[in-house]
Amino acid sequence: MPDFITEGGRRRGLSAGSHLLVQAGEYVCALPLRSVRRVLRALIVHPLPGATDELKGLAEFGGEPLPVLELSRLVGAPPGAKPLYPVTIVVWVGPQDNRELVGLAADAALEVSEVQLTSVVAGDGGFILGEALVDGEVVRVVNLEALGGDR
Amino acid sequence: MNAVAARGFLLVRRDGVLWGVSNGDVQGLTRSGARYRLAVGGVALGVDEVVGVVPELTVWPVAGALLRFWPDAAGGLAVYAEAPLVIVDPLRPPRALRMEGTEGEIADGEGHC
Repeated sequence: MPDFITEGGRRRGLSAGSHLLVQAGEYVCALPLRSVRRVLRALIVHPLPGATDELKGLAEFGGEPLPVLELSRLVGAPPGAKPLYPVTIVVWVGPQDNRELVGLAADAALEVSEVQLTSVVAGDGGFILGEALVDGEVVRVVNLEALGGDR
Repeated sequence: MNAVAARGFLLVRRDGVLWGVSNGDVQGLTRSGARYRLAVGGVALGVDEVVGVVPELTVWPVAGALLRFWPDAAGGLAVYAEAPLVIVDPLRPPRALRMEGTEGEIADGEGHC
């Protein structure tokens, strides 16, 4: 999981480019680490009638109700193999002055990695900031601020 | 988000989803076959099960991210016995609870809505 130790053995710490890589269907997505509050084994989710496919339902987290969104649906990822260890990633979404907690259902939490934001290309200007190469693999960089309440 | 403590809720379940109705908003509760007919805000709602009454719930506002993906109306969210629930807004009773085959308005004694 998180690797903040350099080859020289010194602690590297987090930076603006630190992202949590997660598997969502066939995509690997990068979530800004500063917005990640917790990674949990998949929470029990109660579906809501009439919800769109992106909304998996409501869960309980720390005694509070938590909307849980399906990350693979949000990014339009083709479905992958049945996950062995599905997770719920509790993240802050929305603008800094009006942020709120949501859960993102994902297939697996992979690792913490540096994503050079200057290298991100082909974003849709919305929830997907764009794509970047991390260790030779394409990852979808997610803009959690765009997932706030206002459409 | 700021949560507020609110007193007195009727808890009901429909299609596996838990809902809370403030006691003061309940206009009627009658048996209707295997289900229950609940009157809220002048609208007839159908529920599968009456779970009980709780003296207090901590109610959170509905998250904006939830509203983006859920078109129904709610007065808030809460948790009871580790299960999340939706608070019914009496001014906008949820479509998901309306009686099937009707718009849900309660008819008067002469059959008018």
